[in-house]
Amino acid sequence: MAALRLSATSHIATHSLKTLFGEKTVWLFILLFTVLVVLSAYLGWSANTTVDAIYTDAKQYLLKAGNPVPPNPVMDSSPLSMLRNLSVYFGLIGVLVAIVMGYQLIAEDRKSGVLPLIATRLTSRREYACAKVGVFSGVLALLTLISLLVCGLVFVCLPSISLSGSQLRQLFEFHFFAYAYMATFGLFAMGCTAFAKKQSIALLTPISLWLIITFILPSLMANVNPTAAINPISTLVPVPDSAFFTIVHGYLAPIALAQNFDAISAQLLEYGPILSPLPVIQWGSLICAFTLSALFAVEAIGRMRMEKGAFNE
Amino acid sequence: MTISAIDAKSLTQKFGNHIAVNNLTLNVSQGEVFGFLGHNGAGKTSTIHMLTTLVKPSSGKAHIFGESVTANAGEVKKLIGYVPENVRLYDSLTTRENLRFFAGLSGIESPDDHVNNAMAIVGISELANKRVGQFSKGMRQRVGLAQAIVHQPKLLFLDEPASGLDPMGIKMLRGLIEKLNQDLGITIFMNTHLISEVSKTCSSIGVLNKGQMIFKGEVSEVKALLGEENAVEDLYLDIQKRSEEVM
Repeated sequence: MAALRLSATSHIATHSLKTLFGEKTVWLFILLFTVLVVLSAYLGWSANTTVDAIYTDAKQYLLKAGNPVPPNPVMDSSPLSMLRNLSVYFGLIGVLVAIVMGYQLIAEDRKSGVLPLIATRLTSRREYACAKVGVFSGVLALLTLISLLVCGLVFVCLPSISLSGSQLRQLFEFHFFAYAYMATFGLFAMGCTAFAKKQSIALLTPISLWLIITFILPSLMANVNPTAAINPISTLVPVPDSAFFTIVHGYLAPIALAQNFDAISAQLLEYGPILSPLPVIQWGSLICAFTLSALFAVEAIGRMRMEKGAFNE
Repeated sequence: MTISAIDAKSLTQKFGNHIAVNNLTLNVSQGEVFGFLGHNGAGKTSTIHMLTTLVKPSSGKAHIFGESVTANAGEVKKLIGYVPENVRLYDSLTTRENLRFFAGLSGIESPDDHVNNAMAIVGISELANKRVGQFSKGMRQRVGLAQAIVHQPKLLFLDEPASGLDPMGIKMLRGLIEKLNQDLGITIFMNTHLISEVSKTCSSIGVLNKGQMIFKGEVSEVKALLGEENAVEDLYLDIQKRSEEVM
């Protein structure tokens, strides 16, 4: 019986994986994400190389003129900071990839209306939920791994720059939190798609939540311009000195996932203020949100009305 | 003593204050083609949902070939096949891919043989590699039947199988039901409101009104009592009318 149960879960997982990658939208987003990760690494490398070239020219000029030579600014900055744009791409495209995947994994079965047929087979709702969440987690982990490999390649290709052991650990930690951040929205989308009666609500709810957390909360809490979300540095501003922002920040900080992720990224990739250890509220809120989303997804899928299944029924 | 294909006692399904199925007691013998008649909203589909383990009864008991639909849902699932009112499958997949998926979920060891067999029985072998999304209602109905018998069940639940089919499709379906019942020995439980189909296809009938069983009997008895022509229809209309008067 145990073998059969494993077989049912893996059978649904294999099928889901096949249908997920049969969707052009999913491929498009995954491709875009991968290209942006590579671009992020290239931009970091390009910026450092340019500054280094200018410094080398300036150094020769200063030496000839007999003037003192300041230290190379490239050497002053952490090699990890070359990857700072990653936090933006994970927070924007990465989250969208996760939402599309989470939605698609459940919507495919609901749009097809096959849930009653699946439910009358030798599989339980729990096995179905495990298969869906498993596929989502696996594909997202693969994407995160691709990013990690690209980052690794950057440092292998640039022998002049090397990471210390602790920096390597920070790079892993950054990818861990990036995974948790993306998965939070993807699992929420999965739960919404299982829960919603209408197809449009299933997709709009997680996207609206993401928009609020990414663009509206930073404005409310720190008067940050919404477009700052596409700049890894701009969101790292202190809370304005006013009663309104202080109170709002106090209440909303635990759910300000975008700002917390930006702050964690800035510390782990060493392009922002370093706080050691990482503030509990920042990593704690991400882990809590991830856990709650996972529970919501499993619960919502487990409570799906399999006898109806299709949207708008 | 032969075990009944379906043995339900005091089966009730409530949705809030609404009682969809009220204290239903039903017995269907092995090898029967049972027609379950009733108006729209009478509780026919809710009854199928309980018997196919899709929803748990609010109260009462039901056994499929002696297995409880609540306590032994896994065993029941091995014994039944289900074709919903609107057959829905993965449109982007071919007939074979769809059948393989459902065969795999049934724990079949060599799904390809079962899939080929099911397609041959319902006569859709030539559609094996075509995408289901391009099929007509009648063709989908046949693929739906194939998915329901791919694991060789002993009991088949058909929910309004003739709904939306043209006369040719209905005739084809009738032939398939007879074939499945007579050649393969599958017991068939068929929800319908098409009385003409019941009279041509079924061996016994039950009539449901507002969640309650108001008649159960052999089609042959009804025909003997009321004459061959329109016997089931006359009986159905008569008992529905009487039932409305009582309620």
